[in-house]
Amino acid sequence: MKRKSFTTFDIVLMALLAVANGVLTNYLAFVNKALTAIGGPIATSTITGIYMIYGVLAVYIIRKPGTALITYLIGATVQSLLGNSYGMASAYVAALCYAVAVETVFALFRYRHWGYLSVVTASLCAVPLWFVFAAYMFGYLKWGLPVLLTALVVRCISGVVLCGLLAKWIGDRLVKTGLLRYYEAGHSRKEV
Amino acid sequence: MIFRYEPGDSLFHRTDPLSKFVWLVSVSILALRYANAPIQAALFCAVALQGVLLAHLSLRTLWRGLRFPLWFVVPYFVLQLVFVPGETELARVGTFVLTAEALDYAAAIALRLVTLILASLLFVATTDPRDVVLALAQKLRVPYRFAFAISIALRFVPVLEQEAALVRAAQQLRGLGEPVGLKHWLSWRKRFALAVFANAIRRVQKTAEAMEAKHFGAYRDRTYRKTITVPPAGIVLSAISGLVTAGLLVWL
Repeated sequence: MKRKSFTTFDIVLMALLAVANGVLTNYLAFVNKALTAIGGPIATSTITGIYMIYGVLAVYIIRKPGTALITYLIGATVQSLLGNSYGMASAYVAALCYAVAVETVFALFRYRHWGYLSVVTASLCAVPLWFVFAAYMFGYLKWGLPVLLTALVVRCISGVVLCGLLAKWIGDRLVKTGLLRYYEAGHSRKEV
Repeated sequence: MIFRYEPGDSLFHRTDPLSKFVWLVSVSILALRYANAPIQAALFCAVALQGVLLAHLSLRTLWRGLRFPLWFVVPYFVLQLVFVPGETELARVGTFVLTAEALDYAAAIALRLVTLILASLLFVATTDPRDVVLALAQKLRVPYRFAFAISIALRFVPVLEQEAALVRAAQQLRGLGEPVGLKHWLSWRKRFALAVFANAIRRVQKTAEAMEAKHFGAYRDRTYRKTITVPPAGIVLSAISGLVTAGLLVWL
């Protein structure tokens, strides 16, 4: 019988992926803030995809409902407690926006299809909801519709490339290394 | 890490994480509700005052927490002055026209961001991360296995940071160097991300097996050395935060 409950391996993986992404984005912190300061919503949208990758990667590896939600919430909590975000409000709202979209898309694929279509679709759909909140939070609304639409398109491309395609590529490479033998993605199960 | 927990004995330190979270949510709602510079300035001052009086944070600590975010808030403020439209002209420098509407909106957004960061600083500086985990498990009834995932994550932050630095150095030693150009940057980013995630996953097996060897997750519930309680001050803080927020939302 296929296990749907989370094992300790799953939980630890979710935690460490959240931390790994925090470490990765640390190298981008200065870049991100510089892009916001110099280029506003369009420039900062170019790298937003990388901030979403850990939840999509976690779902791709673990392949159980609720994985994205738990992973993103762990990530938001860790980011908040380390003081590395634009404040706790933005961290949690972003996490929930990503989680809702990613879980919904994979649920529509019945958590069974793990090709580029499902992963890229999930990454693409994770962008608009948070963009609406971000546009309000960061004051993009007065920049005019052309700027907003351009920023949204750039953000969607970033989501597809830096989240969807990159998560799938990383996941497939990790499967080949054998590191994922304890997870659904590695076609193995951990029996307690 | 911009700011971190600093032990103390202030009202905020003695208050439980849940009550402080209610306070934080109230401040966030007010900060996000208004796009008006005077209101945002008042809110920022109120939060700063609470930081000094109720959390016993020095002005130096507050400045240290806000210094890095100001590096993007100030330029973003200037950017908004340039691009946000307005009608009431205040000044003109060449083709650039400074309008009252742009000034008000840019200041409001800048103050909003700073207020949100400052409120988070107050929460983080006065809250032991371990208490957050305990509050999640004991008060919000989050299954302890998931609540402790946060502890695990925090424990491994310095380890993975150090490994990421090693990966970066190793890649440079092997001639990969700093990325130049978009294509090279994407390629470098791909390899670096793979290495960082692979290192994280290598640690999962040992960590998870060690935890299961100690019966982590074997039982549905567990005992705790420390119990999180909601003190009267916490209830008062939550109640006042909620009432003031509701009142301001109705009145303003």
